[in-house]
Amino acid sequence: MKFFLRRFVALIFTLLAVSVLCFVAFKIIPGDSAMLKLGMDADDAAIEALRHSMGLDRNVFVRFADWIKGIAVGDFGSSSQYSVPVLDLLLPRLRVTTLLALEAIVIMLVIAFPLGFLTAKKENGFFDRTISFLGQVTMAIPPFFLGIVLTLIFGVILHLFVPGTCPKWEDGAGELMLYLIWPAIAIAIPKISMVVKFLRSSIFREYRMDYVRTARSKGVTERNVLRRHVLKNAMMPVITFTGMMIADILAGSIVVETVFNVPGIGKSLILSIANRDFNVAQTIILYISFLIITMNFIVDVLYKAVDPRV
Amino acid sequence: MKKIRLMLSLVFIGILSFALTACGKKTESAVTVGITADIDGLDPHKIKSAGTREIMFNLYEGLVKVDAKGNLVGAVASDYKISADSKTYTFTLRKGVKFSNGKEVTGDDVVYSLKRLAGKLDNPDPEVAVVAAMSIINGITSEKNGDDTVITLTLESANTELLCYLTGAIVPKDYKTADGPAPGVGPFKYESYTPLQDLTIVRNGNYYNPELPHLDKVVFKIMTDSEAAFTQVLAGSIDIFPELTADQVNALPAGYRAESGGMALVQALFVNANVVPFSNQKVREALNYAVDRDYIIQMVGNGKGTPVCSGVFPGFAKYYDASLERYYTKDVAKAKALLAEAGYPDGFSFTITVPSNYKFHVDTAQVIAEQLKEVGVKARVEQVEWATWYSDVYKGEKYEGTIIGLDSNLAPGDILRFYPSTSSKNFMNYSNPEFDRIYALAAAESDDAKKVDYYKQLQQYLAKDAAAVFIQNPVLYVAISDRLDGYTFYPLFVQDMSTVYFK
Repeated sequence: MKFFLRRFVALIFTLLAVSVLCFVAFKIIPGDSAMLKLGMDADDAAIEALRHSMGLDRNVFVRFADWIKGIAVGDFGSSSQYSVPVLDLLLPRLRVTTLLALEAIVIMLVIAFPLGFLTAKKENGFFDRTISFLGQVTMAIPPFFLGIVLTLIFGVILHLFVPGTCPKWEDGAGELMLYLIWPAIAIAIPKISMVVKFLRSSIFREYRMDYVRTARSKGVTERNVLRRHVLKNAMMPVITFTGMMIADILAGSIVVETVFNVPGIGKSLILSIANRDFNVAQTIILYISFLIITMNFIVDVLYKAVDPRV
Repeated sequence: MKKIRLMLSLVFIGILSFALTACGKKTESAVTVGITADIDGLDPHKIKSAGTREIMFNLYEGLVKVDAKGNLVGAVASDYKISADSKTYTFTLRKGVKFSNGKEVTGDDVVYSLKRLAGKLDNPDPEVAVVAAMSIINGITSEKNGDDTVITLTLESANTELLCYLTGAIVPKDYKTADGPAPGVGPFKYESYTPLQDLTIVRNGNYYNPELPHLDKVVFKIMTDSEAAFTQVLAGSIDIFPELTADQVNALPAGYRAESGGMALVQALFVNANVVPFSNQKVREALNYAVDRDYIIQMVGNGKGTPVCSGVFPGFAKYYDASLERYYTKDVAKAKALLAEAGYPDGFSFTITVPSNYKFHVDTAQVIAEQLKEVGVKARVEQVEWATWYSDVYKGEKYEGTIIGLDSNLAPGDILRFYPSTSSKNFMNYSNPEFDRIYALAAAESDDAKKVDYYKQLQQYLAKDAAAVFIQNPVLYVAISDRLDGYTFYPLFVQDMSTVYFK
């Protein structure tokens, strides 16, 4: 219980710290939403008037306090660019990003673990070497480039999907899911390579331990050595790592969303910063921080389950 | 026997091709246009970006509108008159002209719209992009004259160019942003908009010209950048893409063609005359002699574009002084001599700040930096995001050099609005009292020959004083599917979809 409480307090403080940082950053970077909304032909008086009506001319602390007060009651404010409540703008996009993330996570888990075990079967064996090599290559390729390559091969040449025509949620979740497979693959591939590499080295490290030699010498079959002894220990760091990867994926794959024209929060984040749409940017950043902290928390809980010593 | 076989196969091919074309024919003629920036919003009076304005041309019309030749023609008004002293403008409303919702346009609607645009409503919405040029309007009235509705504008001082600013959307009386997209008078009407995804417009059955539009539906698909948009051109999912880069023109897939037309802007390297060494006119002249405009156009514009050495572009027709096109040509020796005279025999170094979202300007900056090296001037290209550029360079004037394109409506006074020393838009801090004097005279002048002469003088001042390193009037490349025809270029930023049709 104490463990949970401590974690919860830490979560609140981290989120608070993140929003202060974000607020300060917005204060420092040049330009504000009033200026951008009126464009190049507006005179200074008009900009000042709009600033006043948007409340941008108020004291920074007052603004921050107001914002926090709003958050406390679930009011995230409204988008300065679109003049709609932030949640109305973000929730439909969040749905898409989450769906994309879930697909990527499933693809990652389904492929990474079997592949990892396969390579770990025999160090420097055929599988191990090929997969390690492929892993090195795919890890080095940034996901957006992978996205472009996938678009070119499967979209433009093989016509398996039409690039950039991401169906809307309203047009059917099935169609959307089908389209999202491609960006999900682009996101998953580098993560798969990382998890495989991690799993492999973790297993091999355990194989070199003394207890494995003891187990073997007392006649435990190779199969059971792996299952009963090695895996249990090898899984610990892999869980942490996979958790990090999942948080990473959930937090949004900004660039991949852009390449595939997926209407997710990634695109919103970039544009809200460019347009100085503070409420939108702040909400997305809070969401991402929340996800990462929560994922870390879940990993800790899993740790506890796997290894009671923690 | 052979003949029969040949005949049979011909018949077969005939049937097949007929069947195929029948398949391709859709019941609804819809076109997808790729755009690379989200729209500013759906209130036509709050639009400030050229990218949104050119789309809204399809939805909204003002008292007058611009045609493809750059003339102002009647729209909501069928007729207009400007008094001899240029202080009274009268408009006759087009008979039976209706909004897209079927309601007839009344004089009250027009008066409200004009007041809103001029910022003259009692409780002005601070987000409305007020048309500064309309501030000289003293009175806006509407009265019935028999069957006709006549709108009268009385001005504080004589102005012959106000008409160019009266293209702003006519919307129903008391329209507010919160009401959602306003019904308009244009050939299309609003259907749906999803931020960052798409804007869909459909045929307006109440449009006063029953011949237009040809299409039933146009979807403007919002892409993040021109690379992403071009991928979709390659895949065939975009029919029209009006922002092709020079490289993309040469990589267009089969089934598309590129058409080009002059943009409504002047691209220039502006230097801040308030900082050393650009306060020295000789330095500015030297820069003008150091650049090779034709080479730049070759590099960034695929060879198309008109070199300019002053602030007006050829679209202004009679007001444009074509003799200034070659006022400065590349002359390294002269540039070096001028620099030496100014006290910089070994050159100097400075920073060119460019907004990173305009690849065209960034590329130009890089070419220019290379050219300036020849005269010993070291230019460092610094890319900043748009908001920073707008705040620091344009408003804050904290910069040494920058490359940007300045756009305009049809009024020659509009493209030159940046240069009077009193203008808040004069971010290059150009100052010449003679220029200021003539600029004020030009807008009020009703004698056309004199007016043309004034504007040519103004252009000559800008060239002679080296107000900036004017570069070119760039060309816009548009990718168009071969299934379509009728795309029209305007001397302004306009994407007129009403004339586009399936072949």
